[in-house]
Amino acid sequence: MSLKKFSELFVDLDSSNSTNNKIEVLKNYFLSNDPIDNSWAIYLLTGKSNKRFISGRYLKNLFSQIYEYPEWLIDTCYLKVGDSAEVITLLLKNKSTSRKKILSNISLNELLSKTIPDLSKLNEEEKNFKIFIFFHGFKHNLYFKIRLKFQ
Amino acid sequence: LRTKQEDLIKYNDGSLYCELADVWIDPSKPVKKALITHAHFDHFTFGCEEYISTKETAILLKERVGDNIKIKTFEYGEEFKIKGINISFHPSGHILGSCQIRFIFAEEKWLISGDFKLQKDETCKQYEIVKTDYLISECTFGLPIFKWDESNKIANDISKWITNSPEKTSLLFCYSLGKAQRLLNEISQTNYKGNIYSHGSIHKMNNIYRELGIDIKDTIKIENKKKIDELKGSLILLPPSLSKGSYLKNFKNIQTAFASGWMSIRALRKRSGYDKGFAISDHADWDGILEVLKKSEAKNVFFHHGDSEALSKYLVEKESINVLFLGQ
Repeated sequence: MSLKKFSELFVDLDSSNSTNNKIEVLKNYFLSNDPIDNSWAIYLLTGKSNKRFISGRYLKNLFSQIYEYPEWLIDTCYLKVGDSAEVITLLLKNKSTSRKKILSNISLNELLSKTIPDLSKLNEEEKNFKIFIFFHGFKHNLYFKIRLKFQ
Repeated sequence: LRTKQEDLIKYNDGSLYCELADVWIDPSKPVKKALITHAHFDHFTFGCEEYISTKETAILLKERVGDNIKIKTFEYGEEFKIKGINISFHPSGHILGSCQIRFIFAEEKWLISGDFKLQKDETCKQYEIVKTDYLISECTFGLPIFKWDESNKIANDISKWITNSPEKTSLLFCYSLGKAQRLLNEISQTNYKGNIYSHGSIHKMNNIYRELGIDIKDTIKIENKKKIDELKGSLILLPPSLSKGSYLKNFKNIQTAFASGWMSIRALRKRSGYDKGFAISDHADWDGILEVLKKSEAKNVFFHHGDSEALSKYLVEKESINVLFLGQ
């Protein structure tokens, strides 16, 4: 099942302090998913992680470059939030113009065993461009403008 | 070069003070004459000789301070003079009756934003753009991580949160004045059509809002806390002070949430101890603050309330706006 579904699972788990509720939410999720995606969900929720293909610092620098935000401002946000990924997510709310989330229908398995590891095979320019597309969603009329930015 | 001594409005004892008019703005200690931007507890104090505010704020203030205070009221946009200084109130969009205060002296305009927001809120007047030379702005949420969703989206999320747990009573904590009424107004426009109960402090404010012509849904006043467990599928609005201490320990079948801009940050959400957080605020977000700064055309900006260091640095670096510090 999709990344969107996993994201909903996370929000649901995060919306309750009751262990019984969380068990119920997990049960429903596992019953409606492929075994391979369930395995990835368990892997992520138990705090395991793959080799890091992109560091928090790399994402921050790239974000700063794309959206012309001073790095010190992103660092100040980090002091308030305490998590690099969350900072980028919150900052993107200010920047994302497309509501279409291109990765929402990708399976966890494809995302974690292919899409993200494949980033490391790309040269820096291609990698940055791909991450931008992930950040921004995809919009045809923006495509060429963005492409130019990374050349 | 301008010196701090020349500033029309300064800090004095932690509050904003206009020496020429001998008038204080939202003072934290009893003074002779106090201009009040709105009726939240951190914006006024008991025991001032005279209060000056909008009509709505005066009614709310009397409810909170008592009927026997001396209070003078002015309409939005109506100019009045104190010791030769022209002063006027303008809507700030924060809560019912809230205002920005403009001072004009010797053709120099000063504007105190008060707490403000630009977002839609049918329970109070929309923020009015006021042009000024000097702007003293709040910046409670002065970082770009703060970007509010539309309030009807949050209301729909709240509606889903209640209806997805029909076996539980949903307790939504929010400030009694302003936030509670805005939420009621928004929630009544969603698919949630169940009962809404409210704590006495919120109920009292709801009645004042209604008397002042604001359309908000009827709520049932919570008289007996023992009943809360029995109100499955219903929504109860409570003030945040009740989430502390033993109040919640009396109930089993409940889910709790807090409605505040700070709930947009996960760490704060988790630390708050509520099951869920809804990020809705009566203060401007980052874009809102920037918009007001630009549209006010202020050449000089001061910040008051909130952590302004990052915003000040950003404005100087990226927007070339002159940020100053208020003199004492």
